[in-house]
Amino acid sequence: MATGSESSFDIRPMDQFIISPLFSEGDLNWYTFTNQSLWMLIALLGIIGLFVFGIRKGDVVPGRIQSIAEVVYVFVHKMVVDIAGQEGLKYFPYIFSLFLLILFGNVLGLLPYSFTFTSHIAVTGILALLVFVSVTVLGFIRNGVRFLSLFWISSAPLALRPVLLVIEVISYFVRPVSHSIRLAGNMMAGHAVIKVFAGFAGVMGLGAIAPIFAIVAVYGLEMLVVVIQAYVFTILTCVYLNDALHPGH
Amino acid sequence: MPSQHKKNGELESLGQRLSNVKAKGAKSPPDNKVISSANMGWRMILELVVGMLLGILLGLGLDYLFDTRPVFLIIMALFGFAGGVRAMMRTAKELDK
Repeated sequence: MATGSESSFDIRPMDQFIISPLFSEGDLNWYTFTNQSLWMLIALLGIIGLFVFGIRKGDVVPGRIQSIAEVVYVFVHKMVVDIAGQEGLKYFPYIFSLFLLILFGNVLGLLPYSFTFTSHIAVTGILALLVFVSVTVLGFIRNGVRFLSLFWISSAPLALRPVLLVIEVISYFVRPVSHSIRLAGNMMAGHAVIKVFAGFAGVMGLGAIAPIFAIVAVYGLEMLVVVIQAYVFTILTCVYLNDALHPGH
Repeated sequence: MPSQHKKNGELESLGQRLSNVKAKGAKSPPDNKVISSANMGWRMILELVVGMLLGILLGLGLDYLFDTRPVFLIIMALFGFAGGVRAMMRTAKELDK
């Protein structure tokens, strides 16, 4: 560190994203139970708790937990119908699971001492890739070879079409990359900012009140960002799904 | 029946209050729109940058394959930029709807 012997000013905002094994020492293998696996498991339990035990009674007039579950369900349902149409409802379970996993991951990540698994490109990249591959396969199944006309612009002059083909293919592959970077980047940036301010507060003594207020403000903003990012990821999934169901619009 | 009458009055006032709340809630969408247009802006920027990055990476990869260091890098970077603009324009079209 640059401060040398005065090592009190030692902020490591990125340390919170380190994946470490919980019950074993040494290397990470695919079966190693890490802090990431733990928080994914907690997110899973939270979802099960909300949607299995929360609405088990099935009251006509919902209680607190049940209304949360119903509001979330109706919200995503409406989003799918609005963007992808009635046909998109077939894929509602998948979109809903995506939304819940990301939402719970983001919100649980805001708890102190927790781990935000959605801040890793490895996680969001897989989620985005799954959406990308399934939407592309779906496009081919639904539209056959006609799906390729998305890349072969028949309204352009023949000489230009190969050039446009390259451009279109690149712009098609931009989607999964931006889809995953957006979520992971937002999560990582917000958490790192909070950690940096917390580091300031640690060395400023009485003056720490300023960074503490800043942390409160950033935390409030993060509450908004985590929900919006889950929403954005889901809505883009719906948009891509819609493109696969109705190409050429 | 006085109690029945009283209940009706209560129900009416409840209806009144409900419609008041609903009228207030109807004003919230603009706020929502500000968030979504900011999101659209970020989305476009990201698509622009990612398009260029993809192009550069593709170019580097092709150069590595054919041992022609700067040729494909230059060509694919330009293609990547065009692809990024294309992706951005598609997002802009979505905004128009």
